[in-house]
Amino acid sequence: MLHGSTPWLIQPAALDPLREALTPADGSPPRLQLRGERLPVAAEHPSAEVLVLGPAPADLESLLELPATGPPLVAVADLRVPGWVPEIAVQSGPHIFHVYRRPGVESAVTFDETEQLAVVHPQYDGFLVAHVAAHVDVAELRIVADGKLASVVTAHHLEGPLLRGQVRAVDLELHPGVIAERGVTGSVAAYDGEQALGRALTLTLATSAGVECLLAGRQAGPLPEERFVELVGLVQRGEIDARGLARAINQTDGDAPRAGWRRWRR
Amino acid sequence: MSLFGVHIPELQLAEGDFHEALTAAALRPGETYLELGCGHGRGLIVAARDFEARAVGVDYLPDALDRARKLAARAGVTVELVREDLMQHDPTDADVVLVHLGPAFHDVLAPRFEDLLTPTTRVVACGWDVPGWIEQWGSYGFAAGYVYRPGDPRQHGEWSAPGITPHAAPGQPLPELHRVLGATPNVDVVEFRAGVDLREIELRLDGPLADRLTVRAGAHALGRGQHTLVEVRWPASAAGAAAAAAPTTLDVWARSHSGRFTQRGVGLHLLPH
Repeated sequence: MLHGSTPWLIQPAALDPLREALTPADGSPPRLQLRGERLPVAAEHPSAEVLVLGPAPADLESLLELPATGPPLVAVADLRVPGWVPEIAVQSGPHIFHVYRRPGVESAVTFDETEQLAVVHPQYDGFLVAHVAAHVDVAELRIVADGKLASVVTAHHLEGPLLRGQVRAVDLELHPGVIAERGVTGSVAAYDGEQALGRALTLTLATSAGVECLLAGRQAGPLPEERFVELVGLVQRGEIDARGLARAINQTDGDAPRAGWRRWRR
Repeated sequence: MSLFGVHIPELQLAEGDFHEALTAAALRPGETYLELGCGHGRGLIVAARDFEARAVGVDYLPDALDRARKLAARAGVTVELVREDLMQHDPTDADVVLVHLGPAFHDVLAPRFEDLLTPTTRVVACGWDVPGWIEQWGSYGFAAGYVYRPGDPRQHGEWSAPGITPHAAPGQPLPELHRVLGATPNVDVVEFRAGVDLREIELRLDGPLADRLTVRAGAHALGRGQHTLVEVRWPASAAGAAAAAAPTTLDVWARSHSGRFTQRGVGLHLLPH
């Protein structure tokens, strides 16, 4: 919010902390491209690495309709770009710069988890839940299970466009009966029509008649990330079976019901 | 149960979960409780027995409904069971609707609820939230799910900015934006988040400064869960500030799926000093 306690004009010195925060450890400061009536000067660099916006309300439209191309980083003073997720925030005196990486096709959407591991009962269908957030407008979102998961997972979600800032819930219907005992790994990817968007969710499924369902996520736990990566590797190399995997998850989770893991139901 | 043309496995909630959910939704004796995808009817029994509500369950599987009928008889309660596609069932006479279907199915049902339910109807989404919806005032979820009032236009948008309480409960003061008249800059930018799909967004002012304030939104349409920026440009001079000390209210009006053009979300009080 811009209000009386924030000075209207952004002084040149206020850009120094921003430059410093964006300078690589062994590199030179990034070239800035400055735009907006609140900035002391306008500076256009064709090869700039950072677009700095000192937006006044008159610039609302430019903030909401940032061009698709331009410097890879965008730093916005005292306002946020709706629907974008800042990588860092840099405080500089009374101002705060939110720094974004401009979303391209490779980061147009993000899943709420990068990698998941599930041990499921082989005799029951069930579903797993994922959420997809859009950082650009997607005309026609499609979620598709690829590779070895194609015959195991079907994705269901509300059809139609997904607009910047919106989140879509995806139910991944699982048919674990056809999974090999030692599990399969594949990806669940987002598309706009035929165009792949963002990083896919990597999903490893293994079956064990000894469990109803156990889940682990690389980011959301319950396993520490290193242990998670290790276990996925063991499953993929066939060095651990689903029962051992379930035991490992259980040991970490302590069998305690956790609100974050209510996402699976049978 | 079938949606998207696929079978959905039955999702289990314990009686204690239902009790907590219906308590959070403030189900009262004599009200109508509707459960879409009622399965074996455990929630219907809790609603009828513990809350003395009229309990209506909808499911597509005859076996599940038979089982529900037997369990209700064994519990000594009367429930109404309907075999119907969930997307076809008319929920308009319900006071509390409970769904526990998976978030994608909640997503699909959401526009229908927004248009068909009355402002006082509470929707309990168990297990998962409904992406983009704004929770009922003061509920902020409970262990088994979330409570919403999707038919109430006041839950269809909220303001956000540092220092602004997102939404005001009925009877509570509206969120406030303060400004010293005559100060520089004479503008504020606040965010408005849509809790439903909105079209033809229009900002309206009401109060002593209505003629001297200029407001505009960064977008004329928003999808459920989307934010836009709203600019508030205050009078450049402090002249008349004392007379204008009473709040001026900024309201968002917009059209919904069904074409209704009404106020969305609670207003924002603009307070000059």
